Amino acid sequence: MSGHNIESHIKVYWNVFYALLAFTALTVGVTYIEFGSVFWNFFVGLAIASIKGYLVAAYFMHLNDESKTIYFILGISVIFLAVMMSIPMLWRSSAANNKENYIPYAIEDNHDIGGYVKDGKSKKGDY
Amino acid sequence: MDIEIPYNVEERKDTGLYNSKLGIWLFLASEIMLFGALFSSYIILRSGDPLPFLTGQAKLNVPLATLNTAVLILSSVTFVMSWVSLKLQNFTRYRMYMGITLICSILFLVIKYFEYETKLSNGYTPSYSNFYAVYFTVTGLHAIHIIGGIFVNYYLWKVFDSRSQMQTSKIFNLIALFCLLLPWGNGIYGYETNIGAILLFCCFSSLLITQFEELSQFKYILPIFITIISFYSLFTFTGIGYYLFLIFNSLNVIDIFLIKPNVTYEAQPENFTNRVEVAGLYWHFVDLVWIFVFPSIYLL
Repeated sequence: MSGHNIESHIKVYWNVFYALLAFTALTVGVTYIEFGSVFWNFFVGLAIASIKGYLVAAYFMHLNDESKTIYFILGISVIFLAVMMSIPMLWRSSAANNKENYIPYAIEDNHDIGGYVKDGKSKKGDY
Repeated sequence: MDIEIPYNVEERKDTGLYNSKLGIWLFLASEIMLFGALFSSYIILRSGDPLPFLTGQAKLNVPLATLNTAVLILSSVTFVMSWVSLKLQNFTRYRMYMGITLICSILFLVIKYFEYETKLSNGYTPSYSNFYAVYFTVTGLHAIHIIGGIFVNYYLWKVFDSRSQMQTSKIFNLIALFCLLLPWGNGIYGYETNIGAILLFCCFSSLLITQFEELSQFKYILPIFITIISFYSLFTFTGIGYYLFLIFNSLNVIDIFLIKPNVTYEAQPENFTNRVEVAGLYWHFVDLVWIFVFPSIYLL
């Protein structure tokens, strides 16, 4: 890399730093706004975090200009991360379909007695 | 005997990378899975029972965590600036930026300490609720990564040239002794249950002796002994003095045992610059994890 090239990088790094600080302030500020539902609150919060993550990865970790091997490694790990993140969702939906397997859902049905199962009964078919 | 490690500086043809960079990216990929597992358990615990998460989150100190985020971002940018300074062969700037990174990372741990201290002294231990279990596991694991980064950054800050490799262990000993004057607190298990506490106090007196006498063998064994016992009695003390003592004693250990300066900038400039870059990738990753931890644990 030539000297001039790196000199221009310095400016980019500091600008990314200011952008990260601004986005941090924005993340905190956004929590005072209600977006209607829990999903949208999470969506906005994580979207800002993703932008910050992109800035760090692309500029500080030089991912915008990297060898193909690294993209390959990261691509695989992102795919497996997505699989791992989606496993809880799968489990939750299957549990919702089959309530007997998932006690908290069963307890929700008994919310009129404070969410507790009467008399410690816990065998199938009680709820 | 001198064995040249292949592809330490020049790129391998099939990967297009030097080997340590490939290695650190493989390591970071495994780290993604490690933190991903914690995040997915966070999702599963929260969707199962959101109430402890909402009540627990209300008790967290958001301004302090925001300050911590800013400190970590600053340390990240100073690290990349130190790497640039090394590329431009501006060595005083390199030392300065790396020093700021080190100070910021220790500051992060100090702020984290004040956060933890409030929780633990009010009885919010990891066993209090699902939320605090997740909170302490995720932020604690992140803090351990910060500690690891401090060791590496300290190494790079110190092993720069032969001039900066003066023995500083005596200074760290003194700082560690100064930490005795700071409050040590009473941990969540109490003094009497932990043998480590007693052994630790025995070590203090020995540490004091090493300040006045040159006991060569003793001096080398003692810091590592203290470190082991310090980690053992992690829950016996919760005061700031204890944690600072732990950090500075660990730096002492690095000084004595790990700094065998085989790669300095003077000897192998390219190799050393690559080391800084690789350490930087790790450090930025730790920053990246915090960027996701901060909103998901503290804010949402």
